[in-house]
Amino acid sequence: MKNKGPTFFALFFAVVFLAAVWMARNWYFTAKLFPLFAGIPGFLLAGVQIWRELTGWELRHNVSGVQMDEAYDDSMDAALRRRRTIRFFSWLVVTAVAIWAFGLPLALSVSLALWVRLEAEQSWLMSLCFGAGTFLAVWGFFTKLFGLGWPPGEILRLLGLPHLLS
Amino acid sequence: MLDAAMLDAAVSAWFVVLQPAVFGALFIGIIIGTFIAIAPQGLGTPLAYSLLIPVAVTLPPPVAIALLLGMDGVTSFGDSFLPVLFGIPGGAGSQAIILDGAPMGRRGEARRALGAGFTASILSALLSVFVWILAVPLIGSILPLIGSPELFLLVLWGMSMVSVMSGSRPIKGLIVAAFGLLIAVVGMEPFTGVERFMFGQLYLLDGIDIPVITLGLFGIPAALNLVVRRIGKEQPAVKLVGSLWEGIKDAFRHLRLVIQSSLIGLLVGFTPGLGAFIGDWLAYGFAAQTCKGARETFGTGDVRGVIAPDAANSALDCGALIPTTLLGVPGSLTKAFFMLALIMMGITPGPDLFTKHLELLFVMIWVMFWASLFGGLSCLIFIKPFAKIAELPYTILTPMIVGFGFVGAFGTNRHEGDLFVFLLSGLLGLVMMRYGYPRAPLVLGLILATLLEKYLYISTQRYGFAWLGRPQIMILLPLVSGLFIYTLWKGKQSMKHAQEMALREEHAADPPGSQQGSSERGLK
Repeated sequence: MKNKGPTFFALFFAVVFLAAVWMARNWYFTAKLFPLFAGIPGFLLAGVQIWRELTGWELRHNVSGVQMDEAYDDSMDAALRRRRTIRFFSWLVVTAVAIWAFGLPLALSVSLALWVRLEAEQSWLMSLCFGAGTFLAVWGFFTKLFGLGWPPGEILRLLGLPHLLS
Repeated sequence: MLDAAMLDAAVSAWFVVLQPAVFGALFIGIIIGTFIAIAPQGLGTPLAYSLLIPVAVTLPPPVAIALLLGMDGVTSFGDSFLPVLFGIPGGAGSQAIILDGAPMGRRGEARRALGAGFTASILSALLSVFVWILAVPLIGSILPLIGSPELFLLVLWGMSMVSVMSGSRPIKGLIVAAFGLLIAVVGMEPFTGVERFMFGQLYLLDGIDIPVITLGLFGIPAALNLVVRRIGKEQPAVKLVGSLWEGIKDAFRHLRLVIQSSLIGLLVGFTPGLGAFIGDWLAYGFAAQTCKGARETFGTGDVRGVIAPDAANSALDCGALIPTTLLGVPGSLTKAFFMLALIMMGITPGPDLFTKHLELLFVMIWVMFWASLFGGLSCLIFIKPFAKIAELPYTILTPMIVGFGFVGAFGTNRHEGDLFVFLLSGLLGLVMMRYGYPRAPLVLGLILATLLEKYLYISTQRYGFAWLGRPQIMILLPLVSGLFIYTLWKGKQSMKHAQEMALREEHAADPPGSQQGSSERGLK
C-alpha cells in the first residue's frame, strides 16, 4: 500500500469521529448536538482523505502549494532524524515520569541539567548553571515567592519526605 | 464619539496601566515577545501564548493582559530581524519582507532596512490604536442589538479562518478543526450533566485544558525542530551595518506608503479569516503597483518593499484585536489564543467585555499603545544585542522551551494527567506536521467550540428555533454568509498571489540560509 502512514493517520481520525458519533447517539439533544455537528462531517471528510491517500490523489494533483504551518523538512537523513526524534522524546517521557516520582522542581532541574551536559554537550559549569537557574526559577518563584507549592513526588512521599523541595 | 462612561473608563484605564505591577508585566511581555520574534525559526507567537497563558491566568486581569498583549504587540517588530539578517521568514507577517529586506542586508544596508521597518511599524501601530479607539463607540452603538443568536453567527464566521489556515489542504484543515471541536466537548456537559467521552476518568470531568494541548502541539515540535536540525549553530548572518538614521528618515519620507499599508493591514486584521499571512503580501503587492518605479526596483532591495509589509504587519496585529475584543470573533489565530486567556479569566470577549469590563477594554488599548511605542523604540535602540538573539543555538533554546512547557503543562492543574496530555499533544503535533495537517485549525476548533456551544444552547433554549427568524439574524445571516464566501474567495486569491510571490522569492538571488526559507510558514 502506498502512503501507509498518511492513510493510517486519516483512518485514525475516521475511527475517532465514528466512535464519537456512536457514543453520542443516545445523549440528550443539547449534549449530542455538538459531537454530531463535528463528528458526522469529520467522519465524511476523513473518508474522503483516506480515499485520496489510497489512490494517490494528492501526489497526482501535486497538492503542495502554500503551507500554513511549518512544513516537514525531509531534506535530512531519515535515520538521523528518527534517531534524534526518539532520543528527544525519550528524554521528555523520562522527565515526565521523574516529575511524577520526585516532584517538578527537583526533577525538571536535574533533567535539564543532564540534557545540557549529555545531549547538548555543553560544559559541566553550563549544565549546573541551567539546573540551578531552573530550580531557582521554579522553586523560588512559585513556591517561595507566590506560595504556590508543587505536588510532592510519589517516591518522595513513600520515603516520608513529601515536602522536600516541593 | 466617546461618551462620558467611556471617557471615564479610558482615563482610569490609563492610570491602571501605569501601575507598577501592570507596567512591569508589560515590560516582561515586551522582552518575551521580542525574544520570541527574533529567536531562530521554530518559535512563534502561538508558542509564546501557550507558554504564558497558564501563568497569566493566575494573575489579576490587568497584569495578565499587559503581559500577553505586551508580548503579542511587539512580535511584529522583531519579525524583521530574520528576513533582513538571514534571508529567512520570521513570524507570519514577515514573509514579504525578505524580497527587499534580504537584498538590502546583503548590500550592507541591514541597519537601514531594519530602521525603516521599525519606524514604519511604530507609526502604523500607533495609527491602529487610534482606529481601535474610534471603533469602540461605533461598535458599541450596535451591541445592544446583538444577542446570543447573533453571537453564535459571528463566532461561526470566525470559524471561516479554517479555510485560510488550511492553505492548500482544506480537507485536512477541516478534519483537524472538527477534531478540535470534538476534543473541546470532552467532560461534563454543563447544561444537562451528561458525561461526554470521559471513559470514567475523573480527570476529564472539567474537560481537557486547552493550554496544555497547545503547549504540546506547538512547544514540543518547536523544541524538537531545534534539536533535530541543530538550529542556531551554522546559520550565516549578514553584517549589521548601514545607517539606522537613514532608515528612520526613509519611513517618514514614505509616510503615504506607511498609511496606505497600515490601512490594508487594519482591514485584513479586522476581517476574521484573512490572517497575517495575507496582509504583508497584499500591502507589498499594492505598493509594487502604486509606487513610482517599483516594478523595476522591488525585489532588488528597495526600502519601500520593506516599509509596506512591515507597516501592514504591525497594523494587522492591532486590527485583529478589534473584532476579537468588541465582537468576540478572533481576528487571527494569536487573537484566538488571547480570547482563550480572557475566557479562562472569566471574561467573555464581545458585548460582555463592553458592558461589564469597559475599563479592561481600554487597558488593552493602552497596553497596545505602550507596547507599540516601547517595542519599536527598543528595537531601534538595542538593535545590536537583539540581532544577537537570532544567533542563539538550540542548546540554549531547547531546555528553555521544554522547561517552560513542563511548568506550564503541570502548573495548570498540578495533575499528572496533564503531563500525559502534554506529551500526547506533542506527538500528535509531530505526526500532523509529518503528514501535512495544519495545526492552527485544531486550536481554532478547540477555542471556539466553547463559545459556539454556549451561544447555540442559549439561543435554542431561549427562542427555540425561532431565533433563526429574528430580524437581526435575517440581516446578519446573508451578511455573514457573504463574508464567509468572500473570505474563502479572497483567501484563495491571496494564496495564489502569495504563491507567485514565493516563486519570485525563490528566483531571487540565493539569500543566506535560503534552504530553511521555505519551511517556516505563517501561524498568526
